[in-house]
Amino acid sequence: MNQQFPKTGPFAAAPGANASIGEPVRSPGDAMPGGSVPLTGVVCAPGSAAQAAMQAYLTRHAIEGAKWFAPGVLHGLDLAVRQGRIRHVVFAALPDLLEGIWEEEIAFDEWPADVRIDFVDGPGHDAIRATAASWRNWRHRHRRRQARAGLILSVLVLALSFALCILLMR
Amino acid sequence: MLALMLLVLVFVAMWSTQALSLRSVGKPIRLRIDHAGLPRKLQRVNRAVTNAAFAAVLVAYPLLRGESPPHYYAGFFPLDSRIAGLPHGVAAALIYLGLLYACWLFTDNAYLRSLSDVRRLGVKLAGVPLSAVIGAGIEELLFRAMLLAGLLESFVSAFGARFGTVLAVAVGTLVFAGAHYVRRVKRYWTFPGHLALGMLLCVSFACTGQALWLPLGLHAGGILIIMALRPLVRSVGPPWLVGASIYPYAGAVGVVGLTLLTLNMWLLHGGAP
Repeated sequence: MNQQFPKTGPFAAAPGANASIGEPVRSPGDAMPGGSVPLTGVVCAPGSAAQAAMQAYLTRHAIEGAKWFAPGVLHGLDLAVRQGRIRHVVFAALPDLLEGIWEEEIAFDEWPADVRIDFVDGPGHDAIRATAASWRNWRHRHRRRQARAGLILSVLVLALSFALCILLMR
Repeated sequence: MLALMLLVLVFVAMWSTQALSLRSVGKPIRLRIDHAGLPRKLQRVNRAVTNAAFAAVLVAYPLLRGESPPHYYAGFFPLDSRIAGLPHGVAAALIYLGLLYACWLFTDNAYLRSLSDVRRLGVKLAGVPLSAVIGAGIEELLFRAMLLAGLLESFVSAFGARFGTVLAVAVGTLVFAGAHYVRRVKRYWTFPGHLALGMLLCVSFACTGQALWLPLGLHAGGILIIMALRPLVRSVGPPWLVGASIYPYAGAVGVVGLTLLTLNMWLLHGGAP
């Protein structure tokens, strides 16, 4: 996947960054086979409070040309990591990674073992609690989506049943 | 009204037996009919008395009217075109509930259980059709052939055909739903579902000229699919969507479905086109 940086707005490319994944940019990761330098992927909600912290983190660690991804649309990140085009991923916080796993946007088992993962707001000693809270929140949202889908389909099914009974028993 | 009084007598018999049972084991008498706290043996006695009381009422009602029970109940099974109501009712119940279950499975509001003991499941499923016929048959005889027929007779002569029928159906529906809550139950929010079910069965009985074929088919078809799917499907969706336990019709969707099915049956079997 060759996603383009937005030219403006919070997800605009950092100054001097290359415009697409896979092109050689400078990052703190190890050099990739063939001499190219791996890109850093950044996961942070646009316009969120975490965005400023993420910018500060990238400046502090001299990370340039990072590719930004919004939580909730991480299929591109997952593919780039699995293909070795991104080998360093910085998440704003642990729930952003977990949400990606729960939503099956990230196939975490298939990520190379040497991919470096950092968090701007690290979970510290509360990793288990954060994981449980993330799972609970996700399940709650997921159930609501299922119920909504069930309701819509039920209404259609009832209309179908009504029509079927009229047709079959007339 | 005689039928209503006889049904009340059944509940008096149930309560009296429970009171005697409680006294026999030194426990205080309670108003609510609830077997909890009674030894198993006495629970069985209470159940047997309840069943015997219902059977006695079914036999006593025609006798008190001066008719033989077989002759009285045979009148509700006319061997004319209305007999088609039986397969129609079964098919309608299977269509409505079958499609609802399918859509709940499709949207992950219900899951298929893992089958650990197929042989045991087979034995369970084999008994379902008979349970459906017996369960539906007894309730239809009690609440339609006895109670609703009696109410129709009284109310139609007192208030005229149109209003009398509406009133009899309303009272029959209320008594049918309420009877499911005389004993202590796990949940009471399922009451609207029982009201909707009662309305379906009472309307089906009334709009087919007091024949039991259609309500019996609907009732038996419903029990058949619910009991057959019970060991196979586990509902996990919100109760307002999928109902609860053996009451999938008790949620909002179920109540709407039963209302729609009532309209369906009314249009097909006697209502205005």
